[in-house]
Amino acid sequence: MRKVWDVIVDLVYEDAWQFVGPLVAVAVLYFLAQSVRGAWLGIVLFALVGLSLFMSLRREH
Amino acid sequence: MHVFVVLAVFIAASVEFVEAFTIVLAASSVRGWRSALYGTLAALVALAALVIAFGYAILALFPLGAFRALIGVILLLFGLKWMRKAILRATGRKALHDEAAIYQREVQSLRSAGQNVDALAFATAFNGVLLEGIEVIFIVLTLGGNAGMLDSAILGAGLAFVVVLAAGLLLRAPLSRVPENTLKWIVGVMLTAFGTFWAGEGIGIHWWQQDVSIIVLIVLYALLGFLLQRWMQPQSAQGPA
Repeated sequence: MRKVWDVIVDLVYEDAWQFVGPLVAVAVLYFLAQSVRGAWLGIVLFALVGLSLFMSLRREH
Repeated sequence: MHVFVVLAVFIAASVEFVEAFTIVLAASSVRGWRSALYGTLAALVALAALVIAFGYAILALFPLGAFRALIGVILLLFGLKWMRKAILRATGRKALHDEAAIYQREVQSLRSAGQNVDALAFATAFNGVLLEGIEVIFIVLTLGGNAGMLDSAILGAGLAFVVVLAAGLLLRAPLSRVPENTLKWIVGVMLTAFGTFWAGEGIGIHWWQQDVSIIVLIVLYALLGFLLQRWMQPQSAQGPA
């Protein structure tokens, strides 16, 4: 149980972008997918996840 | 015995088994095989319990979309974390090896051999096998049940399992020769791709050519990883190290 908690703390503490970014991306896409359809939504999800990774690395640059 | 049902289930189940096996192989290559194996076994026990408890009712009871979204997000978070660390290590912004820490970890691991389970490897393997296993159950029950040939469907799934397992075991040896950080980089890319695909599928995204999109996502994330790595270390033209 302690290890699971350590992983959660590590995820949040180390960099908020890599944790919050994908969650926000999935939430935004969930609402978009309710009203529109198309494979382009997948590209948007990839772009938002990629942006999260970029932002989390930007801090180290 | 219905050959077409065997073949259809074999092909469909192979795709799911390859996905599950890729994740187990990835987790075991980076974090140790024992924890990944425990995660796999726990997922198989959970799957058996689900089938025994619910039987055909599982098709109506299980919210597959929500389950895919949840596991997709978890894998996405794990994958991004590994990708980020591997890029930082490859560009020298994070120590590639901390010999003292590695020594301490090894000593501790040897002292408590047989007791320690790596939570990350366990969870990754458990989630991957549970999700793909449920998808295989859905395939067997829908294709086999609709055709009235459940025994043929089970045979097709069983054959797919054996073939994928054999191919995966052959891949284990060459994988063990890949440098540690390169392996983490690759595993990060793959988990992020699988996570994106499943999370997207779970929230209602209709992917282009369905599971083929996973390969496209792997290529796109690998490309993004290379670009970000070059950006982090502009004077170096090296790939992942």
